[in-house]
Amino acid sequence: MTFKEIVEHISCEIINKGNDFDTAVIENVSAGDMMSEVLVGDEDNRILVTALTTDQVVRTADIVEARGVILINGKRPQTSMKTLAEESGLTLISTKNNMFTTCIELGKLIGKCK
Amino acid sequence: MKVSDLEALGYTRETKKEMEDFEIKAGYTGDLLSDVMANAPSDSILITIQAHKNTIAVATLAGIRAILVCNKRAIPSDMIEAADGNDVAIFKTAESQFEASAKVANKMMA
Amino acid sequence: MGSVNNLLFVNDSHEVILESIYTVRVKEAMNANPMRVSPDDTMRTAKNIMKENGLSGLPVVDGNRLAGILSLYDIMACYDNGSMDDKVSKYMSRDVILLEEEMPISFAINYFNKFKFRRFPVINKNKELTGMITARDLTAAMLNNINKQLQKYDKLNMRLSDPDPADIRSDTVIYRQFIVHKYDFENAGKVTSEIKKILKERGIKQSIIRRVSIAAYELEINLVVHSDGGVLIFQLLPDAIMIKTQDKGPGIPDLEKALTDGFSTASEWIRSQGFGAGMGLPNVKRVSNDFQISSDVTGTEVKIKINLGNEEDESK
Repeated sequence: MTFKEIVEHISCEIINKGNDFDTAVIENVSAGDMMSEVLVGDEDNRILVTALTTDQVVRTADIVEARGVILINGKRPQTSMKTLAEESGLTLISTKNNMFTTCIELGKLIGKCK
Repeated sequence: MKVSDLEALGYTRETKKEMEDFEIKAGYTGDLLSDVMANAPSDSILITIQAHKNTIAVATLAGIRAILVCNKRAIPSDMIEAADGNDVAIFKTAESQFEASAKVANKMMA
Repeated sequence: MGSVNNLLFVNDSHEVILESIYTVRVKEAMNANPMRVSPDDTMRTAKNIMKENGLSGLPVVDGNRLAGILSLYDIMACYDNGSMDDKVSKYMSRDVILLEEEMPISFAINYFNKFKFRRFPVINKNKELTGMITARDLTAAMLNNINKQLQKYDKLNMRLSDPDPADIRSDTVIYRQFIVHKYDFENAGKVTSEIKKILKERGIKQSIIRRVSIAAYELEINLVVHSDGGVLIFQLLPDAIMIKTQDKGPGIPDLEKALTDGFSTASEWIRSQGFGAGMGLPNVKRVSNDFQISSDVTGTEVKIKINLGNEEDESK
């Protein structure tokens, strides 16, 4: 799925458009709030879905080369997280939905949900 | 959906005690316990990797009926004991939180 | 930048000094609430104030407004031509060059260069006189700030220490040593970012960078979350990358458990920061070719090696 599809399908707000916002093809979703768990997986082209709003999310995304981060429960990034995302060229999106609902919606886009 | 339906989805039950087959009306996914406590709806299933005794305390407070522990996380015995003591069922899976959420949602809507 | 025996050293502290010129404000450097006279005071009064306070200049203030400035030269001119009972307004200079509180001291430095005056009055947003600034005030403020910045710079762990000779091999290409502080969540991950940047600049393969990043990050976070603080040493060799961490304590009581997936001693507060999922050391071990750990109450040391080069070395 592309960011364009995500933004059209999920009610959300774009906080930062990353460098590859128009071109990225997202193949995997890592949902959760424990960052070293994210580091265990080695899937490519992921987006992270989390309620955590710290710098660590951006750093972790950078390490695993995730294409972007979706913050749930209407969370907004802390100022330094936003700055770090802008500096790293990472797409940052915020949705009012919770993680369960967001996973369902993304699942539909990817093809896991009916 | 009922708690017992989770076994049909391929999830392994970890808690031993017999308890009422509660109705699950919603799903909630997350690992930040303060967030779960504030936002999880009651009569729900919590999909998480927080395999920890504290998760049970939060579950009891929020009215969560079942906890699905993802990513093959080992579940400590004190967590199982606490769950048994509070009528919360624990299930285990190798699936990720994303996969499990999608699967549980499908079942709930079926 | 200098290089010693093929070791690359980078020293960024001069930037700290430059920065202070732009970040320190005039109001931090100035002498606040300075002595002053009014235009209707006598020159004698002005002279006495200057003498008693060791000043060579005085701002002239009319109510709240700066009306002019009086210098020792004006006092001398008064002795020559007139009487000490003359009013200040007769001799003061009305063309006053002044500085504003919020200006950075780089402006003040420019003014001292450009104009012959030794002092400048400082006004606030309401054009009220709030201070006087001399070259001496400037120097004192800058030195003070440089001290503070250097201390902060140290804390940001980009400081270079003398390398431990035992650590360095004769073919070491890059050697960096970073200090990591306990519970420093704000900076947690910066060391890993720096290491990643170095490797990227050197054209190291992406899959290797990923493994090094995971190992470095987990080790860095362990230092922040579980230790009393310590160092992370990064070495790039021609055929491998080596990372060593060494902390001051408290030590790992059960090493075997610590290496088990999912085992964590993290508190609730640490979990709320997104850490403490118990995958740290297992993750490090998983991505490394060599992994060694030793620990006692005086501290924990972890040494890992990730080989560059062939495909066989990669996945485990």
